[in-house]
Amino acid sequence: MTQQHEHLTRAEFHAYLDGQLPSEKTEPARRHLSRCQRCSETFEGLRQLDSAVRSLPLERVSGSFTEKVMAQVGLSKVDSGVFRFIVYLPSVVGLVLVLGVMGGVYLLAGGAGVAVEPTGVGQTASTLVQTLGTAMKELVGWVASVGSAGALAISAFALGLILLVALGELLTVNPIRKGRGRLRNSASA
Amino acid sequence: MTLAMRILANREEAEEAVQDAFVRAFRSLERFRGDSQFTTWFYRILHNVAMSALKRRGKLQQIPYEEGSGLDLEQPPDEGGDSLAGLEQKQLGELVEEALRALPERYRVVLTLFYVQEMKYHEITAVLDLPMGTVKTLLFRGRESLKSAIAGRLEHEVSMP
Repeated sequence: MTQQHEHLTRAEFHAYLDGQLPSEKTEPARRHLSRCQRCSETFEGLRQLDSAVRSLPLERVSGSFTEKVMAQVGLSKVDSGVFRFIVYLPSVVGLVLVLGVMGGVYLLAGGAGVAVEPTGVGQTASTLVQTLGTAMKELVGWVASVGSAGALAISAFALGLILLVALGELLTVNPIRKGRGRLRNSASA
Repeated sequence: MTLAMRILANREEAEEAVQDAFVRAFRSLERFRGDSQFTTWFYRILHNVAMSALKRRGKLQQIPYEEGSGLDLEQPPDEGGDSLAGLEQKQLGELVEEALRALPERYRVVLTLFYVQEMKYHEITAVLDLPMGTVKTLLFRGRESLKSAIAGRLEHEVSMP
């Protein structure tokens, strides 16, 4: 459309509809559309088509979709309570062993003979403290029986368990953290 | 999901493609550089996955970019507005859906990205890895083809006893 009286080309109709017509062509196009019945009818047809396509219903995924994706990326197992417990069990065992060895070393170095007294915070609490004290003594006795080399080996094993879990956690989480950072950047861009 | 459905025209395959795209995106999250919108990056993955599925199925209707519907975009359209006025919303929706399904895959994809996913021209170029001019041409020709297909169906319905 070089002159105002010339009809709009197909490309110009579409560009005008999308607001993509160059600014110097927009006003002449608008004036032409207001005067030319043929072009205004064509434009109205395109506008109706636009509106009809936009109002088509969206397709939705099925209800089990999220579960399937999570299972495929291996996150659903980690999210389940039982699996999480199994994953973190070595870490808990490692921590108990470290505490046991440290307590054993402390008690063997002169702290032995610490008696567990009821604290007066009630019978239940007192029983619990006594049970824990007995378990600690058992652990200390066991550490004493394996000797310092054994204690060192147990400590190394326990630390190994903790490191294993920590490493696994890092390897799993790291790419997600990186991705999240970039997602934030792209969202704010 | 809508994009995958428009490409594959099969609910089960489309859902599988979306699922696959999510998994691929998750696994390659490290490679997402953040220099485009995440949605653009994701739709690019989804488009590639769905197109691969279509190729495997052997139903890809390849159209060279230079060729189109035979319409010259630099010419004024034929007379007649192809008015859709007077059609009920439901009837119009069905008509458009049917005509859209019959279009070649490239037009379906561009029209879906533009109308359904409400992407701008430059976002579509990023998803499809095509030059801006090609995207505009595909969009314009896709619309013209859709308009002709609807007009053809309307004529067919009128001529039916």
